[in-house]
Amino acid sequence: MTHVFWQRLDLIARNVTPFAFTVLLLIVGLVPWRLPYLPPIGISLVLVSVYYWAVHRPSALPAPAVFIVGLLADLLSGGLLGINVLVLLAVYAGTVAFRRWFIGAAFAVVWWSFAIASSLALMLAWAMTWFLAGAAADFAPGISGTLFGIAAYPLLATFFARAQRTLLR
Amino acid sequence: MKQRVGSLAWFIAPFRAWNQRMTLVLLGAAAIGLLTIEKTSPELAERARGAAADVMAPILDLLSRPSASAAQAIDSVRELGRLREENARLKAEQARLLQWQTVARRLDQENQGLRDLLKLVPDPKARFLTARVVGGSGGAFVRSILVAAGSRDGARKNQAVITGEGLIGRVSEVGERAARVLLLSDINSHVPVFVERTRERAVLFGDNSTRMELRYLPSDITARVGDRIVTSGHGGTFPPGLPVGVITAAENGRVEVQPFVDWEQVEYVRLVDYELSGLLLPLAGQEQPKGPR
Repeated sequence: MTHVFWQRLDLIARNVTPFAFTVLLLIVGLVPWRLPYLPPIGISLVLVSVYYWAVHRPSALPAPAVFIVGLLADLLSGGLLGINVLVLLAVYAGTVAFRRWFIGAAFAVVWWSFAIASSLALMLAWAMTWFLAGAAADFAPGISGTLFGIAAYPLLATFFARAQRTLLR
Repeated sequence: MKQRVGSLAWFIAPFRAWNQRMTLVLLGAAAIGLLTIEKTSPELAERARGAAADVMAPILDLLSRPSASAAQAIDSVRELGRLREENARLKAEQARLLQWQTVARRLDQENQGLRDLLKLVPDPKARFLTARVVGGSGGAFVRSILVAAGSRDGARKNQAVITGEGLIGRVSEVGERAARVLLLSDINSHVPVFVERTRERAVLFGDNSTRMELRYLPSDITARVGDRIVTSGHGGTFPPGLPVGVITAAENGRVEVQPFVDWEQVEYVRLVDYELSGLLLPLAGQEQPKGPR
């Protein structure tokens, strides 16, 4: 009985790992680091995680989990409720739709596609903010944050790949 | 058996794909529902954000402490290199400030005397509350910070938030233990201000960048680069005279203001409780003012 219990607990722990990583990256983006030259991170690291799992194993981070991450991001960033949810869901759905192109593709292809996806996500967030707030926001902080996410992709993807190999066999 | 499972998978696969698509559509609709809630009943969204801030503030506070120490360590290493020139600069500045102190003391006395002569109604007293910054801006198009002081500490919505150098924003949402401060640079931030030298009234608009725009200036503007911008106190939210920034560009009708405070580096802020609402109430009730005319 206890054996089955521990096995089940182990399985749950393995299954929530991608979600836990994503929430952790969200919190990293919220901490006031006060480091010189560090751009506003926002959800750019969360996008790395959502994109990675959408490409490599969508079942490990299903759409409802992405929705919850987006909702947390909206509640904690102080922005309008729903914007981050829509942006993350759009990236997730788009990536899952083009997923078969990425399977077996070179790492550079997947990385470049992430650059395109995160740029589109930034534009979507900007357009929605403009539509809802009625004022055009300056793009610069968004661009530096997105570039930070793109630069962080190889490192995080390597880490996720290792986690995927050891935890989600 | 294997054959049967295989045939079943062939049968189930389209349904599974359809199910996934349906889930995505439903979640997308839920997200649009959230946006609708935000637009139709913002107070509900505000309460949800306040509750989330309450839960998150202690965790972020814990995480921000080592990062603050690291930032301090980096700062001290950077400062070591320019200690000598910094020292010389500070000495010169101190000499200049001492002169200003003399001027300020004389003006304060003169001001006090003139106020007594005119029997001027004194400005309402402001109370201060100091809070630690525990959360940075969480989005590319949101400029706000989270501070570890909530309603139980005396934080209220619309309080002005300042540092030693000047105004940085206003309290936009209050939880029990934490509050969110909308920074001056956020696109939803509009602050009534004065150009200090000319006393021209204007409204300071944030546009998500580090520069803010001065709008609704009189058409024959005389404001120029280098003029200081201070709060006007119109609207009763902010006390008048809080330093905000300095004009850095004024061309083609667009006047740009650089804030005095670099809010990315701020560790502690002060919330100003300005008791103007208490002052306005009797006037709204049409009561006759008492006392000598």
